[in-house]
Amino acid sequence: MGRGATAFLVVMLVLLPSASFAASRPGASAPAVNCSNAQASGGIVASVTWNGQNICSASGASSALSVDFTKSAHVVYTWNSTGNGPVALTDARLAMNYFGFALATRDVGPVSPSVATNGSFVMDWDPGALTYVLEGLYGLTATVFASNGSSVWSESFFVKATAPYTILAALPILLIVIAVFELYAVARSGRQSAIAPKKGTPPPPPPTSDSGADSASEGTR
Amino acid sequence: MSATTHGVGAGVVLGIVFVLLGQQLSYYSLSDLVSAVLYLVVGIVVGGVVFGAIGMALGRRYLAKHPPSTP
Repeated sequence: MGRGATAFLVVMLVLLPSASFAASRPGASAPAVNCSNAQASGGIVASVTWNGQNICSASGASSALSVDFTKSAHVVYTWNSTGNGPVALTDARLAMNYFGFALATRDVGPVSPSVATNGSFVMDWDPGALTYVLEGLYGLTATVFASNGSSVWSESFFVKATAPYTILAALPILLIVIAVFELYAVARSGRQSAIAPKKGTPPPPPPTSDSGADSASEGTR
Repeated sequence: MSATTHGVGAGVVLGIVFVLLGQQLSYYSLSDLVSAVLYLVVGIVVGGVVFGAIGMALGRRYLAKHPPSTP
């Protein structure tokens, strides 16, 4: 098999599965799941909707919300105080996690604190510079904060972010290029056996130089 | 560097690349640190072993087809 044929085969092996898997993403047209949205924590019952879909329907990776990364998302936090009377909530945050760290964080506030038994925060979440860099499955955490800065409610959910034209994000393209390069390197690795030095063979002699300057310097040492 | 070493090196890189690419293609999430590191370690080990073996096989095949000439 020639080099060109090997390279073509490697490229097709990588690109075809990528394109087909990307086209058949599960959950791309998943129906909205009705769920009881209340998760009480710290005396607060809250619910968050992402473009009208409750995030509690996306609590698992398999039921992640499909998100177009080129458009901003309309996120609405609605909260009620249960049992503890009126409270002052000043901030709502949305954090996108990657390797355990917050890759992107957006805050609504802090807004001026006003004591109430219920209320809502509205956020238009824009991925910003991440639009043309990333895609894929991500875990997000929605959090509501009290006026003293402590978290009174939070919920984690998953989104499947899609890039323009399915694959046009910088990171997956870079990863595919690296994969193609390394697969091609493996395909050519057989030649390394002929290049590698054998055990027990003496090292090659140093190159001799006939130049007069080198000879003179050797002689003076 | 022998063909096996060459294959192991490429396999380690490919293990990392395929784990990151799988997340980008929405197969799994790397949001949690522990599970993400676990995915990477598994990818590195599997990639290194598999592509090391492939490199070794390709090296033997190449030497069988092109035996080194003895002086």
